[in-house]
Amino acid sequence: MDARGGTSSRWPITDDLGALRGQVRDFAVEAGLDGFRLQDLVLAVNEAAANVLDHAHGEGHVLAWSDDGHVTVEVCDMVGRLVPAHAEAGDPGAGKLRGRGLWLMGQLCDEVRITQNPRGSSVRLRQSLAEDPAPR
Amino acid sequence: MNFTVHADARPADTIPAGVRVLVLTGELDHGSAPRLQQALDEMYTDNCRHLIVDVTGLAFCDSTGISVFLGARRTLSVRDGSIALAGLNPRIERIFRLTGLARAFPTYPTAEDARAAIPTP
Repeated sequence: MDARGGTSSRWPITDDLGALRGQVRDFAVEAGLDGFRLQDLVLAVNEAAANVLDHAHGEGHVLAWSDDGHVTVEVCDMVGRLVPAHAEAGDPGAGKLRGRGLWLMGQLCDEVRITQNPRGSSVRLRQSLAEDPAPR
Repeated sequence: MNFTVHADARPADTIPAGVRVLVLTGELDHGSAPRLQQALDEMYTDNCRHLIVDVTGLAFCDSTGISVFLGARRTLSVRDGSIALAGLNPRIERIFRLTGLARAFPTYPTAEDARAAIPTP
């Protein structure tokens, strides 16, 4: 338990995204998430962490906490190139080979919010624990 | 889970010329996608026009993997060829549907079905 009344965890971002996916999955299962919504959150975190590997020198960390009926995962980098407007990324379509990570996060999670601070940028991904509030 | 990519083990004479079947298992992600790209590059030099990717055993696919599939689609279309996906499990099917890619690739229940759909010269 932490000050927010829930549980929280922190992991570094490394080349081994499979390990990070396992850590996020375990945390979210413990918090009560399951099914497609669990898999969607894990994929969204994977996308955000892959962006850190590709665009932020691979330096960053992941914070996860659960409270108030939500699991929230924040993927933080030390470069700060991401700005809040990036959360509104559109569908690149099948003609474009790359650059669909941020758009995909929006398809997968209830909430995607990007913040910038003097130390870097962070992508906050939020999934409700309620039974599929918005079927996709 | 480790990612593996290998060519269909069936005897070459049962697969028409120019057709290749790649069988993927495990997790296709940022770390493993270069291995799929390498397997594809080897097939292109080996006169492959029609590619069938059997994803029955694929447990995970992220946008890096999707990029590789889209790149193969582009390369093969330049050769007047094709790429088809076979054996999509519910997880992979969902990712392809969410990303809109289900419309970009023909999909079949099995690799055998995909092969039967390739027009014979």
